[in-house]
Amino acid sequence: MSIFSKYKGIIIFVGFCVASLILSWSNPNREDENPSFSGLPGNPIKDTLSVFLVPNQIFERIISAISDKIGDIGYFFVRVFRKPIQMEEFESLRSSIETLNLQLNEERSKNRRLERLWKFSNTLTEVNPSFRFIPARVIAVEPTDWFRYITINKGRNHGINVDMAVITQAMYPPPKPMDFTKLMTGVVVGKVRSVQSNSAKVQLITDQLSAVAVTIGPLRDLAILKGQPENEMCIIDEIPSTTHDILSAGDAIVVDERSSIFPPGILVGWISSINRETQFCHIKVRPAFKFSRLNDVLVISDQ
Amino acid sequence: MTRILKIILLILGSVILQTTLIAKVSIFGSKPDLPLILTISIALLKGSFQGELVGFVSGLLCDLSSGGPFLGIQSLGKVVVGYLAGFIKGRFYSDSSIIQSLSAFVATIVDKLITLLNLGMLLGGFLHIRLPGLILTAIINSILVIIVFRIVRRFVKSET
Repeated sequence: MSIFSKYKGIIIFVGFCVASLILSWSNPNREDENPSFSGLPGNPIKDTLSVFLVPNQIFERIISAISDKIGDIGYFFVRVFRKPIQMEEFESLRSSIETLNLQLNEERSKNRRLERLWKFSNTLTEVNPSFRFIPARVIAVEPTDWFRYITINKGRNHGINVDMAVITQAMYPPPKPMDFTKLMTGVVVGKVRSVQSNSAKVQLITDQLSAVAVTIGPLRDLAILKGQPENEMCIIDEIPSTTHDILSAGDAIVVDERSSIFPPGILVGWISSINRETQFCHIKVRPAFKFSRLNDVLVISDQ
Repeated sequence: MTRILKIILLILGSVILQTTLIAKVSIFGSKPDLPLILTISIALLKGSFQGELVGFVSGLLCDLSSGGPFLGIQSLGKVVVGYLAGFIKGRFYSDSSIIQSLSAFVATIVDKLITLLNLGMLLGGFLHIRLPGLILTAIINSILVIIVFRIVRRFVKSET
């Protein structure tokens, strides 16, 4: 018996493990970037193989469309079970009305959502007329626990490019009374990391490789906000003591004007807790959006 | 050939459900891992080779669906889980719900630890993981595997 036949199981297992390791370590530019500051560049093998996910994306869009039409299920069951003709017509009309009511309520809710989004984008345009927005819907979210990404239903064909900022309406009121600018009605969600023809992946600010330049405190110090995906929060590390003494829980964190991607002044979140040490402190920031309620976003295409 | 197509459909279905419906459902911040549960089920039904193959493909598809920059992160953990779970077939009664649940519980922890280790080495630092979240995910997977196993067995029409 040859060695291969004798140890076939182990050899195949080792082969799969080696293949997985080669794929995961195959990012050629990994050593050139500081991952904690700017995030890792894309993996060219992954980008090439992603074309095979086109059926996946089509299925995702189908599932999204199906969930919008869930009211049709009642009508389907009425048609399956046959009844006497007049009763059947009556029940058919009744379930059609119920289905239409369900669809109408669904459309009303969608309209209310889009109307809020439109008013919100108008508010931001009043502040900065150069803003151009592309509305998008979240169609899929990150399947793993390690990263925080969402997939939106707009892509290259709609004018989306990599490194565009993505925002939404703030979902939490300020935890304490404060001067609230119009820009702070918007909250930073993340930035576009990869684009396909009709969809795009957005890296959220809670992703562990995310880094956002923010302003903290009344002295407007610059700090780098990083993500903590394990508890859906963000952190700012090593703030010097000259700054953190005047910070308190509930203070707003906004994008710094030196940020190259996000519009300055837009809200990021609120200080949740401050861990003070002798010389430095670590701040936990609660993003002003809720991940599970993220449905509609705006991509800033020009500013 | 038909069985291969069915397994491919199961893998695609699990990844799509994971990225759409499952990702929006969480219990105290923990979510089930359908591709992992599928890998365990196939391994218990068909043995190590098919288990690690399903683990590799489903892990690869999860990585492709993920926004992270890495490929192969999820597949390594699932390959190991598929290989180890396949040892149960023929040695223990894999139709037992207790065996399935225990396998899923241990497999979830093994998968997460392997992924954490690999990701930590890639990023050059120690990553944090919530231990209560990990245990809760393992419990959720160990409950769901009982249902998924039965669906997979009926779908694939195993001769075990």
